[in-house]
Amino acid sequence: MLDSYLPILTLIIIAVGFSFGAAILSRLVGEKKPSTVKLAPYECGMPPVGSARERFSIKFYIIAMLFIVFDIEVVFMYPWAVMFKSLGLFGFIEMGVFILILLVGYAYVWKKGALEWE
Amino acid sequence: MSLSDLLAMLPILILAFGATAILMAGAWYREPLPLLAGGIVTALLGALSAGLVTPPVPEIAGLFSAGGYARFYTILWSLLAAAGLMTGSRYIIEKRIGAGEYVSLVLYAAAGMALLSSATHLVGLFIALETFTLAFYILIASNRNCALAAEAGLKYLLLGAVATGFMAFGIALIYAASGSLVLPDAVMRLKAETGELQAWGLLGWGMILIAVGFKISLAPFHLWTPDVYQGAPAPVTGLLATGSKGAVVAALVGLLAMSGPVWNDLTDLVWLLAALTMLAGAFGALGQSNLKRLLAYSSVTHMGTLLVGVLCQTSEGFAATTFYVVVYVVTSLGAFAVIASLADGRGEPMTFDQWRGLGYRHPVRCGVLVLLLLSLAGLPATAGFMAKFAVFHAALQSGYIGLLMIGILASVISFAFYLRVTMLLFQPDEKASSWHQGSVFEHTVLAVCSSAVLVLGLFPGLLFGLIRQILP
Amino acid sequence: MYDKLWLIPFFPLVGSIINGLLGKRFIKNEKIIGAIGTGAIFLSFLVSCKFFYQLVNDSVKIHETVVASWMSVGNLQVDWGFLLDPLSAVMLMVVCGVGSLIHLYSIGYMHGEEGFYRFFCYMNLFAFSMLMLVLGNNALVMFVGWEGVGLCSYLLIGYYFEKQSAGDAAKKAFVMNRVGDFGFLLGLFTIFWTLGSKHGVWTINFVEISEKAHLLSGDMILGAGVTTVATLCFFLGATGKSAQLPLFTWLPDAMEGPTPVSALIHAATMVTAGVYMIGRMNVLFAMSPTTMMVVAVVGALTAIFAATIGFAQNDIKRVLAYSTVSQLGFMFVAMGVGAFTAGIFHLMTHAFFKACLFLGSGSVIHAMHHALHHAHLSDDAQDMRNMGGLRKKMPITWATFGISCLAISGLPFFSGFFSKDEILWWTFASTRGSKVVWVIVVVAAFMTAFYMFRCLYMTFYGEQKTNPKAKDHVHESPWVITLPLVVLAGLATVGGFVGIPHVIDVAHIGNKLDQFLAPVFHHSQQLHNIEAHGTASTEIILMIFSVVVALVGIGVATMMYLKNPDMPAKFTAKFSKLHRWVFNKWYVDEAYDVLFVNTTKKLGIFCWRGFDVNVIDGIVNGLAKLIGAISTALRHTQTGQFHNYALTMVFGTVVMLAIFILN
Repeated sequence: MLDSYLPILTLIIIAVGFSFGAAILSRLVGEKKPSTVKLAPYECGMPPVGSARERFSIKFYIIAMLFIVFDIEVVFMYPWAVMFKSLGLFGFIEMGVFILILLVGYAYVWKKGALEWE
Repeated sequence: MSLSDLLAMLPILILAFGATAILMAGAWYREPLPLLAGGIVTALLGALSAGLVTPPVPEIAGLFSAGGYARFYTILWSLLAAAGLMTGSRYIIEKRIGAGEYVSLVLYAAAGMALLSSATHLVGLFIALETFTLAFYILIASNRNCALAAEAGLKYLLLGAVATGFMAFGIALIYAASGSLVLPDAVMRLKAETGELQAWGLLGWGMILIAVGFKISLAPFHLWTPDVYQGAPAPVTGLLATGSKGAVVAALVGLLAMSGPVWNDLTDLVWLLAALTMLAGAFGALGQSNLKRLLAYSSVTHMGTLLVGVLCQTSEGFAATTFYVVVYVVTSLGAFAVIASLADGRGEPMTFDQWRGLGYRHPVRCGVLVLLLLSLAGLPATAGFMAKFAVFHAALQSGYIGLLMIGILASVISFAFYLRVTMLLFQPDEKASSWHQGSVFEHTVLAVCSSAVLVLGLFPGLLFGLIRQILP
Repeated sequence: MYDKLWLIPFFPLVGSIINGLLGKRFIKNEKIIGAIGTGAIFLSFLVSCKFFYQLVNDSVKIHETVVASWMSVGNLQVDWGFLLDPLSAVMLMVVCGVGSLIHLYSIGYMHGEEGFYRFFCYMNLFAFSMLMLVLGNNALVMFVGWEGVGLCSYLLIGYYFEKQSAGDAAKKAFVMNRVGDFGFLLGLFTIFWTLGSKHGVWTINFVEISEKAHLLSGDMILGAGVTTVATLCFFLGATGKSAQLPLFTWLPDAMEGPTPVSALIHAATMVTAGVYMIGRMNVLFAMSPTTMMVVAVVGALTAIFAATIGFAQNDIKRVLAYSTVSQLGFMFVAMGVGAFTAGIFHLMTHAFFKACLFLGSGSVIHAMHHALHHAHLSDDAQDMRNMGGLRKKMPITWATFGISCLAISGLPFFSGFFSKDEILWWTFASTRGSKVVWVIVVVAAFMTAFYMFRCLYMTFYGEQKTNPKAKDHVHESPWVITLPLVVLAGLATVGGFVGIPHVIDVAHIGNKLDQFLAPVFHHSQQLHNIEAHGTASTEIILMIFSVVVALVGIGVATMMYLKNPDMPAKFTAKFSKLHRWVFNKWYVDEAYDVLFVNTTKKLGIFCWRGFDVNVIDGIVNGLAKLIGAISTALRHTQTGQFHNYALTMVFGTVVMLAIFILN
């Protein structure tokens, strides 16, 4: 059974080997002429402004977390949708309860003021 | 999932939906007392429904059992939640912790513990374990103004994540080896397999053992325990030391009692863990000069002793372990409740300097503490003695003489530090200051715990009879 | 008929409980406490009289009643059973009769003492224990009494416990008695085990033991006959309780207790328990001529040894104490030569005159004490050198004391004459007797007459040497004290007529006591051919001889202490070395200290300092230190750093995996 994983293992080895190989090769062969511009962090081609070690508002994290939570929970609806017909009314009610729980959480978050930016 | 499944799940549903309702209520309504009362009522309702409503099906959705054993622990953890809320009441009010959040988290934790103790499926096990662990991550750090609490919460979170990883990995390996996650089934299939696959399956069990070892702090996975117990507020520590550990042990006993000797190939390992844990706890506690840390090490020793009972894998061993869990929960909760009841604006009394001579300032509560410590030490006529005796007796019958000797050695050593605290409490000290008088809630919990310790110590047959009936 | 025997010990027990529990707080009144204590023992006396009368008129002389079963362990069945036979009946009369008188006396003597209730509580408890000892129908009930009287003796010797010497004396008595008790128990075990394991008779009942004793005749243990070993063990017990060589030194010290205690416990009753016990087990003793000989020799040696010490004592009670030891020696000689009746006879007459002597001395001390106290003097109220000439001041005490002195010296027709003479005759003529022992005993009798009259003269005759300030305050004691004296003196005078020797029985009254006790003793005497044989003329010559010996003793005492008061001092000066030895009791106490007490102490100190402190404590403390050290070392794993914890977890996992894989 494990033999069937052999191609994957081969792929992993090749992938790792290639990436390390390329990095090492460029290091060995490439010419180095460092300058300020070259050493600056790469940021979408824009010149960097200020320090990268900046404190972000906690609100970013909260919004991000809430996004992930609700986003991922919606993912559950895809398999449900696929099986909707066979699940029937009971499945519908169950999903209703699920959505309701999400709504309760949403209401809590709203009431707590986690969604307010100011 | 059908309606009868839902009915069988009624206690859990009461706890979970009650918790959600209180959480929502807490968002609009900030008075802590009604929320607390609601939480206590919910917990008691959960216990009541577990005791009175006969489940129509023996198993819920193939994940959780609804048998007597599961119900027994559902009642125990619901009552524990009620007691935890009672001991935590003053803490919430005085530290201005969000009451809705605190209460609901405790109830969620209780639901998680109840589910864990009744798990019959490895995924159920995992979900239940994570449910209450998540609740504890927050509860430990609930006092955001306390750096120690934050540190404790972080430590528990990070190490808990590692443990969760082991758990998930272990479950995956078992599935890989046996193709089943349902408990007796997975074991049966594993037994039928030979060679490599069986080894993988056993490795999976080993991984689960490591995760369990973290949760119930077996040596060498116990190092977080004193730090977290010290940092967490005493009401939360009380729950963490009792419920989170007891539920895991209960699950372990349930699984083993259900699926027969899984561990025959892991016996040596478990033996070693138990011995190491008992000794590490006993030796560690000796050098402590902080009561909460001392109790942490004491809980380590107790977990080692419990593991001895589990290791026996006989019905007597399981019965002894179950009895031990109940006694340990009652006693340990009481000890932390004493600390919680004394806490005031200065925090909780922790160092031995703070405890010295306190027996003259607060004779009743210190008397209760002495009783509970003696029970933890296993002095005859207390419940702790009967529990220890039952476990050691089971070990003797199963032939674990070496482990028994180590257990007795650890017990002897542990007497030293329990008695040291006892002496400390009644050393005359002019500098001993008065602490908080405690609320009615706290005194109720203390009264219940201390009387339970005495009753179970004098009439252990009451509980043993029940346990023999419900063991799966 | 006899099933109410339990009433006899019951009354004093109740009295003791009442006075002990209620005396201090509720009753308080001395008169009521005294009445309860005396009444309890007097009731026992009345009941005893009834049973005694009943027994005398009964054709069956041995009666057992069982009150309740005590224990039933394997082969051992023990009952709370009582045995009434002529022997215990005689003892009952002595214990209850003399006991009642002494209780009555105590009301006067102990008047105003702190702990009055305590005294009567202990006295009644003693009476209870003594009656249990006497009445027990098996060795274990007897042992309860045996230990009980030892305990009461301890409590009463230490009655003035605030005095160091009283405490020491009590301790000494207790320890020496325990040495003896050890022998008693060994003897009991030997008999019980041999009878049971070899002959299937598991019993400790006296009647059954006596019936089955013949089975033991061939049995050997430790290379000697079982009966010899067992009876020697029993005799060791007797030497402890009855203050014989080598365990006699506690009795003189026991005089630290109040005088009524000395009279009741350390003269009349408890110390005779050893004699009684030999009488009770006479069947066993008779089977072993070796033991009998040992008993006789030890008795004779004690008699003369104690008498010599009695020569030089100045404390009136100590003289009497050594006299008691000496007289007990006489009784053991009687038991040893097979004159069981004579031994019990002497026990009885001795109880009368020695109790009378002690109570008389108590009366004197009481008077002296009051006089000295009145004059605020701290002179010794018991030292005879402070007395003298009290005859006129205390006529009743003098008369009774004098009569008792005549009785103990063995002057004709006083009680002591009959009993002592019977002992001497048996010693001389018995099949188990010995001329050597006879000579020793005669010398002891001579000495007895001498020191008793020395005591009498020093106390009551000559010039009064009391401090002049106190001199005139000495006066006769109240009636509660003198009444018992008179009664006892009367008994000391006529008590001997119950045992008139055949040869001088001109009125053909017969030896009543001998006839009465015959059912207990004659069987074993006949079986082992123990009898005194000799012609009547020999007996009469010996009798006259012993009277002459006593008279010579009295005469010497008269010469030295009445006619020539300077003579003793000259005598002492001349034989100063000898006197010092005698005065210091032959240094027996000192020898015991060196031999036993100090070595035991040294052993104890070694066990304590050498073994317990160094070895045991060393191990214990060392272990504790080791564990502490391990604990300290383990603390270093607790760094508080998260990454260390995680590392440890990983390390633990790796080790577990390693073990797992290796398996």
